[in-house]
Amino acid sequence: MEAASVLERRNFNGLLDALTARGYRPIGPVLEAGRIVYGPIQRDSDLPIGKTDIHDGGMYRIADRPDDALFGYNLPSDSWKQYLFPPHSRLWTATKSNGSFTVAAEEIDPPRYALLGVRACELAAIRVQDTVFTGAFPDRQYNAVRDDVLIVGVNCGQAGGTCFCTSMGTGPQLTDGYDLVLTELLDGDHRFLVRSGTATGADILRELPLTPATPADCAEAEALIEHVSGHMGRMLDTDGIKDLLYDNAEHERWDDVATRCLACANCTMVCPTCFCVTTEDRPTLDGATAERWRTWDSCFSLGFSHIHGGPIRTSVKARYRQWMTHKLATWIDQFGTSGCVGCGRCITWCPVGIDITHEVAAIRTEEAVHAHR
Amino acid sequence: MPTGDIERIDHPLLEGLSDTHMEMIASCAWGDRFETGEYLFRVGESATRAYLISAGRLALELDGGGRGVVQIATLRESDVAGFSWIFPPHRWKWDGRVVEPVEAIVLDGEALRTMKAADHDFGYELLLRFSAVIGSRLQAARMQLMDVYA
Amino acid sequence: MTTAQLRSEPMLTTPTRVLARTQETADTFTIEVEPPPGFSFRPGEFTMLYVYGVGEVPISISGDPDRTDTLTLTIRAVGKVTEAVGRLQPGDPLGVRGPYGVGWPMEAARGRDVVIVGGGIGLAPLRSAIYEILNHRADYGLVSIAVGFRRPEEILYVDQVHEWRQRFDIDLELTVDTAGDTWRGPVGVVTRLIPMLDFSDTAVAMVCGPEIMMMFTARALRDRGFAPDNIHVSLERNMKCGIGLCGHCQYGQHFVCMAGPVKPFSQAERLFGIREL
Repeated sequence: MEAASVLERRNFNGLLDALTARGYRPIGPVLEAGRIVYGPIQRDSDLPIGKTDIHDGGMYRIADRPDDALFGYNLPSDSWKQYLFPPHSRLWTATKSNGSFTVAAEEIDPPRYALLGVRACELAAIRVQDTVFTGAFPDRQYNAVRDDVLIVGVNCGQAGGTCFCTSMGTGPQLTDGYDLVLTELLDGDHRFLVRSGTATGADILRELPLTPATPADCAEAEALIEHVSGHMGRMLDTDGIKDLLYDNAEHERWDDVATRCLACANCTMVCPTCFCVTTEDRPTLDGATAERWRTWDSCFSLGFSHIHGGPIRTSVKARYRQWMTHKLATWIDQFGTSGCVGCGRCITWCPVGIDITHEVAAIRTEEAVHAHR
Repeated sequence: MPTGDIERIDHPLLEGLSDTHMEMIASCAWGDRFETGEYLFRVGESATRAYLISAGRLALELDGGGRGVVQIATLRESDVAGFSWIFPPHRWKWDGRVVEPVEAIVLDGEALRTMKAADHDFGYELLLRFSAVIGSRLQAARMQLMDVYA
Repeated sequence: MTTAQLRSEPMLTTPTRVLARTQETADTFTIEVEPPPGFSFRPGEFTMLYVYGVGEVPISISGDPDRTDTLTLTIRAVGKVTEAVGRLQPGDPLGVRGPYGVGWPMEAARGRDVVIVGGGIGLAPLRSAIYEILNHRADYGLVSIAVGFRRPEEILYVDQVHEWRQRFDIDLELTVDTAGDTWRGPVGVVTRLIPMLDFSDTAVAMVCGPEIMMMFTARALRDRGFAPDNIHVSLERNMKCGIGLCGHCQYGQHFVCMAGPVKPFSQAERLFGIREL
């Protein structure tokens, strides 16, 4: 690991300047309409200074912090997927000509995002989507955007009420895959412990007014991570989870969760790994051109499984089971990793507070009860 | 007409029957052949026979009035036509029309009814075998009902 | 990953045109399409067909894999896109992507007996396998085909089916669910034909039809001694992309578009058994 340095809080804008000077568009946390989301960042004042967020099942509040932390929140409602894999994108345009038509792929001008404030669970989620989009048929648009992204990670200084990254082995500390990683230190002088993970990251650091980190700085950063690890809001036992869910496809717990689930699809929209899309064909009124778009879709919608004769998954039970089983079990067979990174968004943003960790625990416990009968 | 010749009675329905029971069957069985277009039975008629088919094709059908004739199943070699002789009121539920010349062992249902009432061991063996026929036909009918090619 | 792969848009359709159209039954038709440059396929694979401005739909290839001059697809008009394909006439444009998926185990079947069971439109993807077998007849053992349809009017490829019945090097049995009194063939579901088929215990079965028909058929084949690994079925799920990116075709752990549509019954049976999977 690259030796750590210290960036004083008052020099933080220097980092933003260095990013913009390299042609990057910094995107980071901003307070907007009562929640923290990701948006364009020009100055440090765009960040949610002194704000935090309180998460629980179906509950989210913004609150004031006793300090002026820049990254003192847990997790924005939207994930980076908004930027790397936008909700709507045009794939190609067909144009009528000579009794037939021609097609032209959408031209991509990679926006060169610098993602500022990437949490460990979120970097894990980006890597999960990398696996999805670099398979046998690599996704052109995703990879074009992704290849030009700069990642500035920020280690978590606290755990949210719905966090369970330690259960999924994805956090709270960023270990690799970033260009730069910061740990915000608030004791004494407000400062950041910084490390580079790539040559680009190292180049950027060389332009900043840094001082070498002291052993005390490093010890404090480590203590912070240790504290966060020990204060996860949720826990999910992943032991043998694939077989657990495969073996319990007909478990009565699915009926139980179906009585609560509204099939609103919020969980799939906020999930940083969910990648399902549908396609839409949009002809112009005169028919001269016809565009093909793709938009995020959700396995919670009734039409998702439609084949001639009707949808396969008519019940909410079947749709919730599809989502959770995909996330935690079939994903492992498909991509070699879990589809869940433990960010907890699906718990926070579920309007009725359905909790994926509780649902797994219920199946596990009730299975154990059955096994001992 | 009964031939009494058990050597000539060979059909999956009778597989594994004891010699005694086989002789009882043989006492009321004979071989016959039916030509294309012939009706082995008509709906509503008294059902007194079972046909253990060894060749040909027999259609089970009904005249659906305005819908015309509807064939609901065809029976062939190794199949059995006729279990209405077992249950009161002993009437055929379908027309049995020969589509391709049928060779069959014909069983006299009235004689079988008498024998199975008198000898419950024989009756059990017989009903077990006919139940399997009824079960497989019920299953086939259910699958048709499911419209499996939709 | 090469730059070329990244630069090409995998969702891009190739414009081509309809060469011929045949109405098979009241709601089913076959179109022949000019194949995109370099197009070749294996029996059981599918394409994504695009109708200008209307949309895309996955369709199995039902033609002869040895013919490179035409791409043949048999389609039942049951939705917006398939109905739009049905309105296309010779000369009309349409787009093609593919072929995609894993088809029938033609190589594994070489030197072995083959049992083919089709129900309704399920005969379409099997017809490619039948062409392949007849093109290389000496490479296969006994070939038995059993096909079922609802009614005589719904028999697909009716002239061809009768032609196949006349051949001495294959055995074809045909049944319908119900018929009038002019029908001289068998009446009953297709599984009733299975006891009549001839094959050795190393035979390979290829089964295609609605899920329920495949499930009953595969079980009937197993009852006749088939190992579940030797029975192959073709799965159907909603598909938007055909290349493992849209998520719609998931069936248990499988993306039907990439790991299927053809799967051994040994893997499909568990999936068939779970409701609304």
